[in-house]
Amino acid sequence: MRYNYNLPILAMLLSALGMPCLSAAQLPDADLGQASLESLTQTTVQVSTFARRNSTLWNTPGAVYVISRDDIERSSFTSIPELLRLVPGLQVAQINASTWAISARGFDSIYADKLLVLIDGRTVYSELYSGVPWDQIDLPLSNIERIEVIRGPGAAVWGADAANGVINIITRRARSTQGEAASTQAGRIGEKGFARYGGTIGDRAQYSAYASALNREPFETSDGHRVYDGEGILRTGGRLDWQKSWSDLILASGDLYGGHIKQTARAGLGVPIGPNNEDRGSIAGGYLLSRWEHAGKTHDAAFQAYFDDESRQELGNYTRSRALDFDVQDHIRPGSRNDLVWGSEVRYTSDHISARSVLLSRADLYRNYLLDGFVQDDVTLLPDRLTFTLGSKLQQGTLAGFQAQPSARLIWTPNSRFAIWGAISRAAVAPSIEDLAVIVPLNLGESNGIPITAEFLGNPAFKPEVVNAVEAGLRRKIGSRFTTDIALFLNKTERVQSLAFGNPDFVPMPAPHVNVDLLIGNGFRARSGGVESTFSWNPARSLSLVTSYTWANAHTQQSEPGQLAILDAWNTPRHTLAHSAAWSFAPGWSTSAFLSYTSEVPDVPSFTIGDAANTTNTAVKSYTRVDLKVSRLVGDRVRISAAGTNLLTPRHSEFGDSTGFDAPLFVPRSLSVKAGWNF
Amino acid sequence: MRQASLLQCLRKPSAFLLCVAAIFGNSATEKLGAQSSSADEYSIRAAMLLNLTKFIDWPAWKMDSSHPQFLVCILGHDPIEPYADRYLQNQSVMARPVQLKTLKDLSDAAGCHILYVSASGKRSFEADAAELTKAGVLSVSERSVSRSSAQIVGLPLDNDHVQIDVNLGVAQSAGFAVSSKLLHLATVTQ
Repeated sequence: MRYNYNLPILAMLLSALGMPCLSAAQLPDADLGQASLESLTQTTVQVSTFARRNSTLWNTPGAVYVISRDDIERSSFTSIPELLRLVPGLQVAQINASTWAISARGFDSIYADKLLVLIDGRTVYSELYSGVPWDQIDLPLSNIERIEVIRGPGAAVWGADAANGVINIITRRARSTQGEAASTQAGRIGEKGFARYGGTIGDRAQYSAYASALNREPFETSDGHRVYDGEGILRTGGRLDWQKSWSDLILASGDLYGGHIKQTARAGLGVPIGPNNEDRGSIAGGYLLSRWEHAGKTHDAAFQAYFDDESRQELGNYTRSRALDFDVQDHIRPGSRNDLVWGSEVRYTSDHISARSVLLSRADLYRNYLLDGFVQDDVTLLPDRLTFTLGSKLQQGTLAGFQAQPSARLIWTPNSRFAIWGAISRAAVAPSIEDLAVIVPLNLGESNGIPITAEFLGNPAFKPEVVNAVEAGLRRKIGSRFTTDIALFLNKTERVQSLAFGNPDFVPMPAPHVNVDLLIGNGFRARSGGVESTFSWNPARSLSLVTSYTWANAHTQQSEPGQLAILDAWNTPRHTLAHSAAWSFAPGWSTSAFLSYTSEVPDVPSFTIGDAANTTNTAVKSYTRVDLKVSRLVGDRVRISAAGTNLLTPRHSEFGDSTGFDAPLFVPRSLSVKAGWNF
Repeated sequence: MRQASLLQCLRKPSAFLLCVAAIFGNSATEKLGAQSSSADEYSIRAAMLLNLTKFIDWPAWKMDSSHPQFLVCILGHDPIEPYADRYLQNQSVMARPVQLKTLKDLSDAAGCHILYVSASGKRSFEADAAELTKAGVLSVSERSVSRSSAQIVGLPLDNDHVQIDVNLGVAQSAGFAVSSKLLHLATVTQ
């Protein structure tokens, strides 16, 4: 639920916006056969998310960052949302034991709706309430190959919701996870266990299966008191990769999970919950995906189909979302100057909502469809120097209606050490079912002895938010060991989410009280801008250092008449500074350190209703966090490590009460130990 | 030189502006023309296979007249095969024509000069690794040598590059002579 993570309607749905690009063999590159060993060690491996085909990070006309397998292994962070702290320019704030607010380029909240998140091209963005349920994305880090992050619009190929960024989590192929592996980990913030087995079927197919368990311990109040909070999940999954021929790869993957979530809801919610507002809910789900990838001589093609089923029960409401998605794409090179990718998608989703007593929705069943197609062409204007990219996605669907999301990009690479790029894009954010149909009863106390209630109401006339973005960036290599990457952005966001206050109504039945309607709308616009800079230095093979600094700011303005408050607030620090270092200081030993400073997030104007206004506090103080890890390989097979997170202070707060309903907790200092085996 | 000037940047605040110019400017000394290249990781590994032969000397008996061909073997199926097929075509090593062979098991592996162990062949390789090392077979795989006690060369992914690992101890005990130029490029384990 956008306005209160403690409220129900937190259902999961995996909407589909595509697939990763062909990772199977591309056409052989004859030049490499003549290359020297030294130049081969300098040749970069391609990334796939940006243009839905393999491309080089260096020559990408956008702000892209990749968390590699090595980064994952070295880092002290033990979950996907925590790892995203390593990405320069991404805002990551933990709200409680199982909840994060993660966004690119502002408008951060627990349901940051302008950042699309995919796992192997399968979307994990929820259409029920917009945003990403990070408490369900507990994939074992041992199964992740890399995480590709785009800041800025990716809607021209990925479609609606990729307005301010795209994250694609790419899992490891079965061939990379052969044999037995297991790990166990324990610390203040929780425990994890993991086991995996990978084997072969014949000489062309490999499979891999895993099981994992996770327990997240409760976070704290400002005085160190632990509250009712946390999560436990059991998950099992696997994949099968069949290299049918050198040009055809067929793969199947899936998972199943289930567990519980604990939370303390805010008082005043007009829904029956447990004593002390403590609520124990459950989550469950799974998916089954199949993909065929063909790498031909003149084109690469892929076809993907998947089914996804997610359910969630909390605060008396039960939601279940099911999605069926078909996606096809083709990559061709018509002529020497063009490199063209096109694709199409059909998607059907069904969302059920039911309640023990109070249904927090206008209806109990929603059926949605999505039809879309995209085409993007890289046109070489000057070979190896100047490339122009033009593309757009066109989509028609139940939630966002018809949307065209074009993008034009230009990159100039005068030599191998310098790249400068610019881009202009339009992207849309599809309304969630909650935006259109939520109904939440609230008890707001009394005034002059008369009870005051409110109804938080979705708006069937709510329109998609639209982002128009202008970006520019440069990359520069100095020597063989120093790289700088700087991006600037200016965004104009129209139809930003607002809340309108209706006139108080006196209601005589069943007991006399005053009721106020709070109606969701599109009553604000925003202009935002920022600079994201990254400096990487690798003084030696064994040592890497990355420093990043991000400045971002926004100006929001009411665009419709009436008494309105902004709901989708900027909620983003003006300054973020981060340093990370990884050092393999002796054979078998490695250590990593992460230090970040986040400036304060000031109060945002929030809505004020009766006494509730007095309790609203959206400000977050600036904080600095330090995270360290040291690990050692014992023999060939066993790695042990010790890590500390948030070492500088006993506890700190990372996210405020931006909606007037949230109950953010303090992130505690945590020490943990881990042992892993590879057989 | 670049590193030295960077250090000066840090030591001399007055040089800071010049350093900023160095970072953002487009230095005339930069080589024009060559773009930073990129490729599929399997393509890079396949190209590295042949290159390795320029920096490694096989034991003399392995290159005598009873070995008229230079055999590059791939154990199990691996995505590098189509690239290897292309890059190794019509090549020769020490006047011996290179021949590429795909092996289903290790029964024929002793005659190979290079054995590239695919993910599916890992297990059978580990079981017979000691025998192969004695037979003058240079074992290579995409896994780092730190993950195997018997493998001589690893071509693991390190960030966005394919790196070269060499287990010098195993290489020397098997009678290989590894050039210092390769050791300069590689991460060496003893």
